[in-house]
Amino acid sequence: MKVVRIRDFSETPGPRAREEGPFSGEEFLETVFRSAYLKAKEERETLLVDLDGTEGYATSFLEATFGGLAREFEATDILKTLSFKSDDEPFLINEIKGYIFEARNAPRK
Amino acid sequence: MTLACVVVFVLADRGWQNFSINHELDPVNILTLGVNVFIAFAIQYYFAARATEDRAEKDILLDNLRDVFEMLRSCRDEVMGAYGTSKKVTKETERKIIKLYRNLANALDNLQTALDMSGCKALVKEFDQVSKRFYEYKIAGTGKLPRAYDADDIGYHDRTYRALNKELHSLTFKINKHHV
Repeated sequence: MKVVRIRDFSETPGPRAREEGPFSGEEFLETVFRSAYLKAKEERETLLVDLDGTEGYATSFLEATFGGLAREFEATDILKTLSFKSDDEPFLINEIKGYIFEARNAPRK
Repeated sequence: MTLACVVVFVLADRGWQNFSINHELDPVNILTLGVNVFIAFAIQYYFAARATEDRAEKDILLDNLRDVFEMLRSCRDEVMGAYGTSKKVTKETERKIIKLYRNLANALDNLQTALDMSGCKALVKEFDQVSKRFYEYKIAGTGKLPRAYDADDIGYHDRTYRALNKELHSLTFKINKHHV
């Protein structure tokens, strides 16, 4: 199992897009998350996304990261590959799954 | 009432209205009476104790709901306070709003856990709608951060606030009326 800890990227995850401020969801997706996802998928491993240890997440960050990934790749593959850990805020997991499902019908890049 | 009974018994004993009282004691009848009295008391104590326990459980759930309402209002007040102040929500305010939404999410999680463990477990299914409304409310409050809220955003935020508030009130009354 591979692990991505969002706190290693930032303890204060930021906005949706790079131009809106530092540590955005877009930046996280492009610099960390997409490659980690692709590697885990290629190696048929589970990628654990550890959401703990940050100050909290705005919807904008979560949607840009997880919705963004679902706009590029199949939502079903994403949900098969990812698992989540969120002891600090258990409600986040369903919220994220919601963004992945909502984004799955969006046109892919 | 007791006096009236005594008077009727005395009069009946004296043959009033052709009544009569048999003074022989039937052990079977006495035993039956004893068992009936015992059952009546046992049932009374059982239901009284159970009603007290149910009420205590409901009070815990209602306390949790009170916390949720408080967090819900805090989120609304913070977002309202950030409206119209500048072109961009300050970093400090943004962090405060995100933290308040986290507190609200965790208060809802506590409530869901308590509901699931309580005698009102059947009401857990009501929580799907509450969660849905919460996610809409969070999107309205943090979906555009750090961009400043405009009038449309505030209107949407207010609508989602009222929708979640309504769901929570409905849940409150259902918990209060629920028979375990």
